[in-house]
Amino acid sequence: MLLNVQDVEIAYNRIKVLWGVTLCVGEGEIVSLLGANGAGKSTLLKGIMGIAPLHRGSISFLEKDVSKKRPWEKAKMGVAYIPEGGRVFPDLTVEENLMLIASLHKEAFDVKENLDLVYSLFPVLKERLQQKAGTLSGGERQMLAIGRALMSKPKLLLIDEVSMGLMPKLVSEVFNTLSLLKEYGISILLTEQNVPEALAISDRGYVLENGRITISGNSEELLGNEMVKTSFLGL
Amino acid sequence: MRRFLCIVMVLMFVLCGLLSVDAMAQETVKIGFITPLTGFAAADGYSSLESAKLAVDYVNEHGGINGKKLELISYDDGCQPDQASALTRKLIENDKVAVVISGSYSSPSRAAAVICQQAKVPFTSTYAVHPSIVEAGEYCHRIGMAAPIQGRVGGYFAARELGAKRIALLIMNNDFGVSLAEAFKETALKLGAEIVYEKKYPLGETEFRSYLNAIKAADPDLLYAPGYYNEAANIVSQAREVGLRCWLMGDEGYDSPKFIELAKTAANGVFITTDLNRDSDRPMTRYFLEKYKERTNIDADMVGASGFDAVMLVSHILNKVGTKADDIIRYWDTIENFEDCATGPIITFQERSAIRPMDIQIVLNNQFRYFYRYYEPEIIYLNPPSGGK
Amino acid sequence: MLQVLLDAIVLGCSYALMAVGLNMVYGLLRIIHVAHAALYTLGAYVGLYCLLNLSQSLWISLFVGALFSAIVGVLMYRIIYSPALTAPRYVPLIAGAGVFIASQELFRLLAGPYPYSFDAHFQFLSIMTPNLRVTETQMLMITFMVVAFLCLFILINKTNLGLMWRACTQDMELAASSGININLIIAINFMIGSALAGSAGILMALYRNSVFPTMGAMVSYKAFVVIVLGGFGSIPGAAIAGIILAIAESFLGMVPIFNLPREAIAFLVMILVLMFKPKGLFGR
Repeated sequence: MLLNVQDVEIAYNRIKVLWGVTLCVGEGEIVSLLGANGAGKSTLLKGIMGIAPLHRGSISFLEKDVSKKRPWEKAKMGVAYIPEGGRVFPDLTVEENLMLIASLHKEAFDVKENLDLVYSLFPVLKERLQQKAGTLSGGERQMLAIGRALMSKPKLLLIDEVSMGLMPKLVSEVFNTLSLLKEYGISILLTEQNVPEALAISDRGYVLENGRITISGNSEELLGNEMVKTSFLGL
Repeated sequence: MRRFLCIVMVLMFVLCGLLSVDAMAQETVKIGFITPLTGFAAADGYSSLESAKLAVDYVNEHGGINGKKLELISYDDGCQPDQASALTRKLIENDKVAVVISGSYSSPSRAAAVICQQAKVPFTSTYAVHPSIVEAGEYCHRIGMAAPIQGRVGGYFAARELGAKRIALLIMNNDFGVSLAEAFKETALKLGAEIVYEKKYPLGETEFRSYLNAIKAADPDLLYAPGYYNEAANIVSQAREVGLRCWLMGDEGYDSPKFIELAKTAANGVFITTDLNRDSDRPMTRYFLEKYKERTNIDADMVGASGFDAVMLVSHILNKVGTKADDIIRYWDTIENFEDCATGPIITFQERSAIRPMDIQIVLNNQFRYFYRYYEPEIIYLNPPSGGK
Repeated sequence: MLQVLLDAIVLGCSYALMAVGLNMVYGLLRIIHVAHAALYTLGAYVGLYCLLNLSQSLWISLFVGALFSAIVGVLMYRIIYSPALTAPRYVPLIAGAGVFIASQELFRLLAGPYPYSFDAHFQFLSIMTPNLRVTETQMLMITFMVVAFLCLFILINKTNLGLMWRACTQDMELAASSGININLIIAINFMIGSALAGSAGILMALYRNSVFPTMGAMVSYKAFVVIVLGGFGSIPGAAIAGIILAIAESFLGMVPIFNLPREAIAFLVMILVLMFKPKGLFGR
């Protein structure tokens, strides 16, 4: 297993947000984390990244226990995190945004090869290299956010609400790109409110409700699940 | 284990309490002392307290107060008026002191004076100059020089002795600086001088070049800059640096060896008004200067001298009339020519402020030297006895 | 006039050197580092100690003082601010103020309440003409400030470390999850800011020939005015605003009818800036 989350509990100011969550992501898998607003999806991703401290439970990555590791240590191990809303460094140029990440991981691989990958996926970024990231459009920013994450050549990509605030046309474009990443050996754990699109590209999925996992299974099973149908698909 | 430690601690506190009660059982005459030992005025507080202790030792070596030991109880007021009031209350109510002495600045001294007046406990300030301290009432006296006198002496020296016609003022913006400047200005104007420049600066200021350049442009004969030595050292050295070539004159706030140390050679030629004459051969002055140096390894200053004098005067009174407040006050106002002090002799008390000959000193060869002395009643009295200012 | 301008610029250098450290900390952690001024005083005392006991050289005392301030600055972060970061904003503010006040008393207890003179001899350029006098100390201060800000500019804009630092100021969480060791960046940030404060302390001690426990108080008020004027978090803003403030103070202070103390002018400037340009002249 690439990522193993075992019985994790996270609390903010003594208020528990996650109650014993267990899930896993295998190598080469795309896994969706579904759930309503406030179910604790973002918190779980932050917990995995190490931004939100664990109250209980353990996380292992590549069979190593990383529960106590700092975010930057996890980043070096090959976990990349794309937070909600296409967060980038607004006052750095597009190029600086990309090269910053590359410079942090430069021992691991060939920077140029990686940069080519990013440009091939998102040609528009190449035209905007000297522009401040804060001046990009929402879609471009999201592309930069993904491109930035790819610059570290991660083994696991954590993506929080990638479609949020994007035009429908862009949404499918972004999802297409994500499904392409599988070919480069990148596994993905993504949270999403846009359930049909998410399940279309994922292998498996989990449903998170009030901080607990209530349903899990492969994508077809979930699409057929009555509860998923009524709650998320509006059927 | 922890519990045991707690019990031991509690026992220790109780024991300490008992011990101090025990110490009180030996009869002593207590005087209270408030002074800033922390905060920006800590250096003056230290001088003041060490000098007061020196005086207490002197008194006890010479028989104490009618055979009883003199005891000094001192608290740190941090130069804060509210602290000063609270501590003065504590001195009066808990420690039951006979007299309260303030070795602090004008604002805390005013606060303490009000409390003492209410409680009808004799109070004296040492080096604080503000007029309102003694206005608190008949229980409040002042050992140092009142601002109106010191400012007036400065004014006479500048306008009459030095013959300055054009005068610039650079005033520290607190009770001390402002009240000195007011008296100085009134006198100088009366003697026909003209004020060509006037500016206030805050306590703690270190950069005076822009003021000094403006003063230079105003071309005065003399610059009077009432303040404390820390700021004064900067004023004086920066004045020389910008090329200001006029008389420089200060006050007793400059009267510290630190002034000369900080201003270096720029201090030479500066006049100050003070009451501590380091060239004096009066035995008490010599005793104070030598013992203070021995005790603290620092040269004495004016602040210390007035703390010393306050304890000397108070113990003299206590020896004469005992510890009853009304007796003390009645005797206090009749004192004449009190010689047992480090500063000049106290001629009398007028409006509860000490009247003494006033000295002008000059810094020469990196030392304060005697320069001129005023005896004239119309200058050194608060209200000249011959009537009318 | 030229002379007044020059004196003001020298004064402005000290404001700027102090304010830049404050601004670096604010830019990164969004806290007002009140205890920064303690490092100014610390630098001066350590520099003085060096001068009296180790070596006659000003350069060595400048180096040791700055180094000491840098170390203590980092410790201050680790011990005082780091645990308070998740608490509401006023907690680090009050903690910092507490440390600053306590430090003044600590200096007093260790070194005594009296001011010391800072009597260093050194060789440097100076200009002495009838119209303009720049003493060696003034020249040293200006040179130091220019060199320090140039180095800082290059560090921030041209190096990888600077890139990481800028990323951290924009989004700390994202920076951490991108693989930047933010603890290291914060430590370096405190180190540089504190070293500059310490050097400013030594240079001012030399300029004023005095070292005393409360010497940091006035400078710290001024540094706050400078960061409001220059814009919170802006480093060039701190440099330029420091000099602007000193010039404003000096020239307004020269007008005889404008009878306000220098301190009042500084705060007046601050209020005006807050009223009309709350983000400061160079604020983001």
